[in-house]
This record gives sequence, structure tokens and C-alpha cells, in this order.
Amino acid sequence: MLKYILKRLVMMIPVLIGVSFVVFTMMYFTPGDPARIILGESAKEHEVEAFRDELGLNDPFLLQYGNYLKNLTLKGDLGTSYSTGKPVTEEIVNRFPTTMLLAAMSILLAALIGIPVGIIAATKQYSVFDNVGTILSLVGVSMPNFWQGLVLIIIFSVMLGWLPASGFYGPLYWILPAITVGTSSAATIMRMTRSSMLEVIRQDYIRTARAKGQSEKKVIMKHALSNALIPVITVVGLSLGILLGGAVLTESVFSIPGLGKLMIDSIKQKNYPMVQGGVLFIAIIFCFINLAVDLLYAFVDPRIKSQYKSMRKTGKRAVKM
Amino acid sequence: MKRSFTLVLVLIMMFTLTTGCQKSMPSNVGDPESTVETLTVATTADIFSMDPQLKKDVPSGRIKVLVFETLVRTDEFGNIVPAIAKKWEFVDDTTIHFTINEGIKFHNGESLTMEDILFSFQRGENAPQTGITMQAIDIPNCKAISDNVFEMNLKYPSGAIMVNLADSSCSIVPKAYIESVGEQKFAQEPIGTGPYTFDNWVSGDRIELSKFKDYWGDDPYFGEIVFRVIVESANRAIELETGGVDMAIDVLPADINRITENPELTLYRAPNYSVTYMAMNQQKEELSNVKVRKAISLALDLESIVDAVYGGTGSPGRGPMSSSVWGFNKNMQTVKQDKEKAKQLLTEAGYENGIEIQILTSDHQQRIDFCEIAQNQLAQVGIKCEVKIMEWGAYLDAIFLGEFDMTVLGFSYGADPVTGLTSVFHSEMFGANGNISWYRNEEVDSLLDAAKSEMDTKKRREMVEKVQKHISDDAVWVFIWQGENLTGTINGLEGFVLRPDSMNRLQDIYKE
Repeated sequence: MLKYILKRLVMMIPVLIGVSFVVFTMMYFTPGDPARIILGESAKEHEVEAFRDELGLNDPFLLQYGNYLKNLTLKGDLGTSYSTGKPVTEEIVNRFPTTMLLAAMSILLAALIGIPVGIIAATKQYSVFDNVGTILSLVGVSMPNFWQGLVLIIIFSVMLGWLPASGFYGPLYWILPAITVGTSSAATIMRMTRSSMLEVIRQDYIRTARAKGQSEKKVIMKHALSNALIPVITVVGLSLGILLGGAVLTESVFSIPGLGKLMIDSIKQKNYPMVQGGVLFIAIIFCFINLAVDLLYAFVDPRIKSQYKSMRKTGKRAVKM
Repeated sequence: MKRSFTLVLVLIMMFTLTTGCQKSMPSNVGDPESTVETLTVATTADIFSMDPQLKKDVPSGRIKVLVFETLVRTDEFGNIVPAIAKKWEFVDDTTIHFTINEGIKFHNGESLTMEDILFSFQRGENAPQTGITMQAIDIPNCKAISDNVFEMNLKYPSGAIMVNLADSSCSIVPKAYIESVGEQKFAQEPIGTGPYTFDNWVSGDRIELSKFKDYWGDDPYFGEIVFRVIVESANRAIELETGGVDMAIDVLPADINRITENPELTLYRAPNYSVTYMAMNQQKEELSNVKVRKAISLALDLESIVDAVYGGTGSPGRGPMSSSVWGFNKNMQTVKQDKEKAKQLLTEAGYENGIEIQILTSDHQQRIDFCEIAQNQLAQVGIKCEVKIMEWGAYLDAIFLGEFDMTVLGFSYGADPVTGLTSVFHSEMFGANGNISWYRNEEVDSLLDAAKSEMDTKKRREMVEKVQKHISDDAVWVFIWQGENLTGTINGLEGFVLRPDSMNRLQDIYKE
């Protein structure tokens, strides 16, 4: 297992270099001059030119990328944000806890709602509960986040006055954004759990378990759920990865200073170092979450765990991930 | 059991880690037992740099005016009033003596000296934002002539010098502090001589200021001011309504009723110095003809457009300048729609079959709305328009390279209009320097040059009025809209004056 983890970690290096090159190239060749955007339309041509020099934007493409890579690999320096003058690492570190908290709460909420509802919908297929659950999940998936956020603000902040409308300063502030983000994820998880469970409960080993006289609860929770959870974990992992990159619309609606909003603002401002640093950071997060999800498979499914074990004994790669 | 326990443990660790890293609001915000009064303001965007000589943008400017001070400042009517300098005297047209107030301290406790004043101008000599405000100052020859008198020499007589000195780019900054901490740290942790100290900047979220206890001027009422960055206009209004903030800056037309219909809130309205215009690129053959430009102006019903696009705020344009700027020519009137006259002018210009043209705009919703309505109205006189929308960065590149026919943009004047008019209408400012219409009128050029160094206010005003007349006669722009500042507050905030330049003096606000 450890060898497998190390191998995956080493494989991240070329991926991340590739990501940095693609992002750098895309930002370089998109139209728009960062110096002009930052100084504004009223700045004179010579002032813009001087600022371009100061930012090193007049250097050739390869020199700029080489300098960036050198600073990144040798000093771990992601550069300085053009707009605020603060180090990119500091900006990301300041914003990430907010994004992480929002993502964690939303996923937790989504899993707590989505998995149980999915299980019940599958075990009671075509019942009223199943139909209502399916309709609600469709609504959840279809409802745009920004609209849902605004509706929640109007009801709970303006009309009832129970919860604050924007900001992210404490538990009361977290509730509405977490519900907004969590609802659509919950719907996806519910649908995935339902279809996966439906597939599993028709398998022979479930019939066998029932024939052996095991209680329905044990059959569902132990035999069916363990096997049905693999695709659900994949969906949860992917959703978490996406949310850790920032829930852009929700962050905008609730004025949450998260990573997504930072990235969008930086792209608009052509803030190259900030975009490159942010994308690199998100890529690292994605790599780690993918790894964690792969490891979680073994935690949930004993068959995969035994494959890991046999890989350790034989020294061969038994699982193709 | 063991697995469940591990899972719960991991979740608790994640929660602790994330909540532990959260930065909460100052403890006294919303705390009724706190003795420190806090004013919470919803602002429109995050600040860039707090270095007054590096970047000039309105959100940062609103905070800079509380942290820094200039030698003189303007009041809400544009009059020059004392600030760091208690009085000033023009020894001759190019020499001014400023007598400095005593006992002024920077936020780190050090006293303001003549060296700091000289350093502020020397530092600004090559800074990006001081090219216009400091261009008349002969910086190498400025000097202290006593402990409290500063002599400023000018390269040429300048009618706008006092207004320029009131600009935040001429703020007095601490020499010793900047030299010890460096430029970059100064831009993030600035100190000035203003009534509030810059305490904390949580990027994208808020900026916290607290009262400077050794401030030399009147003691401000509020112990703390928190600027919360709330980009969405509707959210600023909702936060004001639900008590999350005490003041919401830049309320949009859609939210006006929300505030005016609430008996616990007050809406302040005041015309500002900004205009929105449609520039016509005179490098294009059709648009180099003044008859075509006039036909385009006459084809548009600006009253109804402004009503539809700006929800009745501000007013239709009456020339290149806003009517709230000093020197506005009161004879200027909004161009009334006259489709027959427009068609006639097009025929006289040799385009009886109409023309095909493009309007370029950025992804700014109100400007897009204007373009769509204008497209329809221009079609009625035979001008076929294509509306092209570009992302802001690409858009700026296009307009400064002259790659457009017509474009919609905004411009904000300072309290003195000569600098602004020069930057957008003088032929030395072609293209990327600001004159994106590529407009040339030698009389306008010479009037602007003369007004720059004219010291007689009356003569200067006449020159500015004539310039406006020429620009209007030449139909350089379609003068679309004069802006208006809208700010909502909770009731009971006394002493608040909404300024046309948006640099409101929050230190003057108090509660009864």
C-alpha cells in the first residue's frame, strides 16, 4: 500500500508541471494586458509600459515561464499577486480554510441526506417515498445554485430574519451557503446511491443472504451497501474536489472570500501569478483527493483491500487504478 | 465500530482545522455591551494597494482618505480647504508657501516633519498615478524654509495645482517608515496621519480601521470602521436591511425601493463627477465626418434610454462634463431625438443608403443594454449596427489600439476639469493615452493648453466652457449619462455628506 502511495505521489510531479505549463501558456496568449487592467483605463501609455517592465511582462514567453518554474521549484515561491502585492501563497492560504469549511460542510450535509434517501428509495422502489425522492433529487440537480442561494436569503434573512445574508464569520453564517451547495450534491449522491443499490440488491449473493435468514436491515446495510458504495464514493470524491476548487457562484451570492471567487477575480484581472498558483494548488488538491478516494475503496470494499494485500505480498500491481 | 470511530475522528479534525483557521469579525461588531462604536460599511470591491501613489481606484480611495491626508483637501462643493497645511500663500505664480499644522503625528507615533512632505513629492515624481497631479511641480526645487513652512515651486503657473494637491496621490507619507519596511509592506500595512489607522485587511472579505488616538484634528465618533467587501449590489441592500451593515455604498436602481420603502433606512443621492459616453473613432472614414456623428446623436432618444438602462438615476448627458463639475457650461443641453434631421444629415454626408457600423462594449450589463437599445434606434435612420461584446481585458486592448468603430465607456472627472478634458480630447493624447476618439481640434488644444496655466479663475472658466461647446458642436461623443451616487444608511447617522467624488469623510459621522 505504501509503495502504491509513493508511486502515485511521484506521478503527480509531471502532472503538476504539465498543469503549470498549460495554465501559463493559456494566460500568456489570452488577450488583455494585466498592467493596463490593474492601472485602469485612465492610466497613460508610458505609465502602463513602466508597470509592464516592473512586472516583467515585457520578457519573452520562455524566459517568463523559466523564471516562474525556477522560483517555484527552487524556492517554493509562487510569486506575488499583481493586484494586492501580497504573496500568492499567503492569498491561497488565507482563502483555503474558508473554501475547505464550506466544502466539508456541504459534502457532509449532502452525504447525510443523499445516502439514506438513496438507500430507502432503492429498497422501496416505485413507492411514494421513491417517487418523491426522485422528484426532489431532480429539482435539486436542476436548481441553479445562485437562484437557490438568493431564495434562501430572501426567506431566512429578509423575511424571517433568522440568519445573516452574507459573510462567513461563524456557524450562523455557514448554514445558508452549506445548504445551497449541499442540495445539488445531495441530489447527485441520492441518485447514484439509488441506482447503485438497485443494481446490487438484484445480485445472487443478496438473495443468498436473505435465504440464509439474515435480517433485512443486515442484508441492506452490510451486504448491499458495502458493494454499492464504490460509485457513491467516487461521486463524493469528485464533488469534494470540485468544491475545494471553490464554489464560485455560491461564494459570490453570499460574499464568501473563498478560493473560487479569488480565481474568478484573478482571471478577470489577468493576474497571472495568482491564477497559476491557484490552479496549481487546485490540481494538487485534486490529485490528493483522487488518491484518497482510491484508498477509501479498500476501506469500504473488502475485495479491493485483499487485492492491495496480495499486491504487497507478491510485489505486483494487482489493482489497476 | 473501529472504522466508524476513525471516520468521526477525521471529521472532527477537519472541522477543527477549518474553523480554527477562520478569521472572525472584530469581537465588538454586533456586541451591544462593547464600548467601542463600530461603523460597518458595505463596499463594492476589494482594495488593490494602499500605497496612494501606486494605484488609483475608488474602493481603495475611500479608505485612503481615512488613513492619509494631503496638504489641502476639497470639500463636497469642490472648494479648497485646509488639511495638513493650515494656510497657504502664492508668493508668485510659481511659488507657494504652505504653513503646516503643528503636532501632527503618523500612526506609529512619529511626528510629521518637512522631510516627510518633501519625500512624498520626491517619491511621487516617478510613480504611476502622479503623472497628472504632480506634473506642474518642480520637485527638485521644493524645500522647507522653516520648521513649519514648505515652499513648493512650480514649473509653470498652474490653475489646477490646489485641486491636484488635494488628490490622494499627493498624500503625505512617512519617509522613515517606508525606508525601514520597504515599499511592498507599506502598501499592505500603511501608516499615515489620518483619523483612522489601518488595522487589518482580509483579502476579499473586509478591511478594519480603528481610531487614531493621537489624531491632531477633531476626534472621530466611531472607534472602528469595518469595510465589508460585498460585490453584489442586492446583497449590500439586503445586509443594510437586515442590520448586517450600517451603510451600503453604490446602491443600484433595482434596490432603491427596498431602501426608500423601509422606514428604518435613509437613501442619500448626489450627482457625481462621472459621465458615460459613446466614443466615435474618427480614424474610420464614416465617423470622421461630423454630419455622420451628429446623425448618430440625433437618432438616439437619450431620455428614454437613460430611464430604461439606469432606472431613472442620474440624468441624460448634457455635454462632455457632468453638470456637477466646476466649469460646466450651463448652456449645454441634452441632444433631443430628431430622426428626420438624422436622415437628412446622413444624406448630406453622402450616405443616403445608410451605413454599417459596429459598437464595441465590455461585459458591463448597463452598457450592453444601452448598445441593444441604440442598435434598434439607429436602425430606424438607416444605420445598421452590430454589437460586439468583449471581456474587459481584451476590450481595453481593442479600444487603445483603435480597433473599434464606436464604444461605450465611462469617465470620471476630478474637481478640476482641465486635466480630465485634456486627457480625453487633446490631440497629444491620441489612442492609449486617453483620446480614443482620435479627435483633433486645434482650438480645443490651444484652449486646454492655455487653461492649464491660467491663474485667473474667471478666464479659466470661460476657456473650459468654450472647450465644451466645441466638443459638443463637433459631436465627438454621444453624451449618454451623468452619474449619480446612491448610498443607503441606517437612520440616526448624523453628519454624513455624500460627496460627488465618492471620497466620503466617514470621520464626520456621529450618532445622536
